[in-house]
Amino acid sequence: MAQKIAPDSTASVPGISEKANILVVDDRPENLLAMEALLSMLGQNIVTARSGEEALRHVLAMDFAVILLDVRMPDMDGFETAALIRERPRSKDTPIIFITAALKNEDNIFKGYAAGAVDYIIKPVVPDILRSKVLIFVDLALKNAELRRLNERLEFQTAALAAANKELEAFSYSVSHDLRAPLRGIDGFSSMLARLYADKLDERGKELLERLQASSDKMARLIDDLLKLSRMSRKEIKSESVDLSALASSILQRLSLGEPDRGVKLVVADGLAAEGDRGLLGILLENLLSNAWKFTSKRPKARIEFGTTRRSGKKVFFVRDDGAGFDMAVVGKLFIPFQRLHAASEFPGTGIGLATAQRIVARHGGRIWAEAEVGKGATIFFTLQGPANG
Amino acid sequence: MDEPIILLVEDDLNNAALTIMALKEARLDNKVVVAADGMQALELLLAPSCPLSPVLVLLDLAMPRMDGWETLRRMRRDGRTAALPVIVVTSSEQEEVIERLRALGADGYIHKSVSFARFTADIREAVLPLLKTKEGAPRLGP
Repeated sequence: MAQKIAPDSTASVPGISEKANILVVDDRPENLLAMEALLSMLGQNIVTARSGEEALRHVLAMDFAVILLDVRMPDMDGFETAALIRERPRSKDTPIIFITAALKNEDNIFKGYAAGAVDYIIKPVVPDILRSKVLIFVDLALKNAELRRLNERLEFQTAALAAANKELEAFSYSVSHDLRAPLRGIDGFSSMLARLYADKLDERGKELLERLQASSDKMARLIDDLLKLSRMSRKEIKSESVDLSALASSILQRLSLGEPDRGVKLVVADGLAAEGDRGLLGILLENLLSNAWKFTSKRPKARIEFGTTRRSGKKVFFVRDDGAGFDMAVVGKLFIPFQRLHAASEFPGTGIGLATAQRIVARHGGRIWAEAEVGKGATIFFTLQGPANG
Repeated sequence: MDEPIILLVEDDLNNAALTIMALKEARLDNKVVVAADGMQALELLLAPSCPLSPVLVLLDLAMPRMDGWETLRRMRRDGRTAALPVIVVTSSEQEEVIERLRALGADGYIHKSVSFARFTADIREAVLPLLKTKEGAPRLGP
């Protein structure tokens, strides 16, 4: 039976197929042979050089996990070689282990090199010590290589995602933008037809015209809202400190003025502020509060609250109402554009408000979610990222 | 007495018709004169004899020959039209566009909503206060 060989049987080597390069520099061939034999069991790629010059050539051509450098060499000694290795950008951080006969004044020189990247081994070389020191750097190099690969893949995927997103936005913008002009005509002229010529039509004709008008009105509003949503994602964020309490109060005041007969208790916590885009945060609150206003419309007495709470140590804003609420089983549809949880005859709207809110929160690095119960009301929670928004 | 004139500057005939209908729908019974672009609008407003003296200009932005930007700039530079109320009517809804228009001296701004009902409501909201103050009646709103 064939034995199955794992690509990395040693636990210390990360699970990748690539080998690390080890450079061994020594002027004496018998030393190089001995070192190669000692290191071969690590299973890595060993490169040898018989002089400082040859070592530098290798260093220019490839990356090494670690360089084992004999200190005593004719022409260019180990320290000179190390200094030149350090000068090259590609190898300036490559770990170096000096192999030296004895420590005299040389430990001072070692200290001159960057900490962590330099080590030394005193001759005669103890095989286990050599291997364990080399292995540390090999591990490091392989893990770094893996990390680099993952990073590159991540960067690539991020860029691809951003490009796809941008394309989608541009597409939806141009589709809805190009649909505008003809639809504007259909909606406007059918409205006027209904207004001016309804008396010239019989009942059946009037009914058909009404249906035509209702359809075109609905589509016109959808296109308006779609364009608004698309603009929301493209708009540049101008961050500043925004007084959310004041913003919420003025929106609620305007809603109350529009329907002064409704008995709604409005509660806005004092001193709520956030770092963000004033225009977008205004639209966010406008959407959430007018939703709360809309979904409490069937109650003679209702309550709408804007405040904050803490969830796992983080500041969370919320808009709470005691209106119609919804079934948590369908909460997944809540933030999807044009998805509506209530019949249009019951509560009007195109289903864009919460999708818009979600985009605005996302553009501020935050999160938005909901809790609700049918007949008991709904609470929309959201966070905003930023130094002052924790 | 005749209702005061509104000058509508719009190159697209469909759009012009929609704006006129929206004005009627909003119960603004002014006489509407249409200029096909900024050049024609300025010719009417600055004619040496019998210049048109509307109570309000509704100005489109994207037009051939002379666009709304240039028309507004020239109107504000000329003493005869410097104080004439101008409301820009456009499909753009970008904040920076609105800010730049305000800086140029536009008195108002109406988005060309696809929805005729919304457009009518917006026209009413933007035009009515300007006409009232012009006639010396109290301004609408709080």
